[in-house]
Amino acid sequence: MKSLKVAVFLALKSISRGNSRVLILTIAMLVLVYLNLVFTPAILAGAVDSVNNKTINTMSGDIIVQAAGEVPVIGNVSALVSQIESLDGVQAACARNSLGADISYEGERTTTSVYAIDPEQDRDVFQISQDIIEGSYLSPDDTDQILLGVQIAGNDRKNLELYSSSLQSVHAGDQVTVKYAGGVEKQYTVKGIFYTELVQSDQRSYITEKEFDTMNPLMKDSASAVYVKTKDNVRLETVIEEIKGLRPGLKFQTWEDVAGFLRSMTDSFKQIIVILRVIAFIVAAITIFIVTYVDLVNKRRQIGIERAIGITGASIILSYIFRAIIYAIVGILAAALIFVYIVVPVEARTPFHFPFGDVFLPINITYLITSGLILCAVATVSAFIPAWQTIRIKIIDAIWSS
Amino acid sequence: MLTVKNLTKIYKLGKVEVNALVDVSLEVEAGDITCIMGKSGSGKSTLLRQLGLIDRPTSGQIFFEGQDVTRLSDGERSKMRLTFLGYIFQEFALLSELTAHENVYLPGMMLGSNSVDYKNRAKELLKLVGLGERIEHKPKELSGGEQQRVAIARALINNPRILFADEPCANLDTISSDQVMGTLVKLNKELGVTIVFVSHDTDDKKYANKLIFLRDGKQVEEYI
Repeated sequence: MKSLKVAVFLALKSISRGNSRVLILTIAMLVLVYLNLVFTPAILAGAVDSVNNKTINTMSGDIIVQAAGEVPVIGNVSALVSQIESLDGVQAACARNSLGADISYEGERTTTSVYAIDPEQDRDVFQISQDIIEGSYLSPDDTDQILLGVQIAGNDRKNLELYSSSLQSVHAGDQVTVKYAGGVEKQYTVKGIFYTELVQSDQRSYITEKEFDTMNPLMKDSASAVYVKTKDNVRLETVIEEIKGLRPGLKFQTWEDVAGFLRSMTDSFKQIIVILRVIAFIVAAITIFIVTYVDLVNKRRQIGIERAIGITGASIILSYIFRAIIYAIVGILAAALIFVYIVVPVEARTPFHFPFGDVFLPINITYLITSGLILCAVATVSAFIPAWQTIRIKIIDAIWSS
Repeated sequence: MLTVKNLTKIYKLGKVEVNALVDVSLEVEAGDITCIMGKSGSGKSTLLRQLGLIDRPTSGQIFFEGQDVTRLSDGERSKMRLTFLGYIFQEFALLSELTAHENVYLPGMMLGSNSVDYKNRAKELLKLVGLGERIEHKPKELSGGEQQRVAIARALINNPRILFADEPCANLDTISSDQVMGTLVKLNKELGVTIVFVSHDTDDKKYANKLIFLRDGKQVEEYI
């Protein structure tokens, strides 16, 4: 207890009366170490979030409901959508029919999935209507009109990932020919072109439910899938269980199942995040070690005097550990405030642009706290080792060789 | 009180061995003021460091109040220094970040005394050495003589049985030297503190009642 008391006394006096420039420099360094620790992983975590959100908002919703039987069609779908929308955890739901098709324009041909949607219902679940770059979004009564993803239209954007296999120069108002898998061929006017920045989503095309019904009158009030958007922080498993209770013979996928095609990328990002964190912690440990070591070398004589007058080695080591922890806490708090109140808002105003869209830095409180605690632990070890080494030097060498 | 038998200290400088102390034996009685004298390099500071348990001898024995303290562990030596011994360094050796008051009471804090007690005692000791008005000054704000008197007060905070002083006036002017030596004599007379000090100045003989002469690490003469 007395060793602890002396250690705290020495640490506080050293901080309050030591060289203020060294103090500021040390804390500034710790601020940078902590920002380094949270910034780059936050970018990658933001990228993963961005990809996942794009998948949910443009392709899958949170849950996809399909027919489990041999006939992959859900009948009486409008009733099912209403029932799903009435569930507690559900924000919105919509039905879609999908068809495979070849699409051609002035000698260029490509394949696409054409989705038949109720534009009003669909915009409550998906954000395609907000990603229109040319022309306009579909209206419920539109027939003979189609909405194309930019990777299908080409849109004279030669820097697109799939430009060479696209229709290359289609713009809103152009006429394209669609040949469905069943053999039906139709001419459509391109009402709009959308660009979600997620390649897989931008390879899709959309027509209205009304247009679909004119081609497939027997399929009225049926759909190949119902897409469900849940409220925030709702467990998908709970909603799935509730939907199962509404009607038998359904099967379910979550957005994570659908995002399998992106999993290798997000998994790579997660691995990079782990590697960057480990490197950042090693850099932090070495930096704190060097600062403590240089400080101890300069104070070797003082430590020799402390030991000569009877201060125990444990007290001296503890005093350096306390100092390192206090520096770390001040640095971490300052850096966390800078990150939350300066870096994140500034980045949000001018976000980093990745191939799949803008990336915003997420504020993950758990990660910020965990990183802070680990940095404190790193500071403790980094202060302990040089302090322990100094204590092992003979008193006379510490005092008279300095 | 303090008995030294055949003390030898050999320093190794690379492959060369230096005999800093050779077969030194002496006795210090309670209440003595003992002066270890000798020219520069004679081994007097080395001897004091062995006696003050700051360094370990190569061979020989040191007995403090009958107990062999030569081979104590670092922790035991630290406790011994804190509890029974006071040590004054030639170069003042105060902690620069602490005030005079804090420098004096720090060893008291380590001993685990009541905080009011050791803080009050530190004030009394600073008054005793004539620095009652300067207790909140830091070392750099004090003269050399004042710093050395703070070091004396610090050495006394835990009521040591014996006080070691390594050329306490080496870096002081004549007036400050007289003040410091006067303070040590006063402590010996008023508090009965046993004092062992090192000096190369033959004038300092007058303060001691026992003299030990060293030359090239060897004890050459002893008389009262």
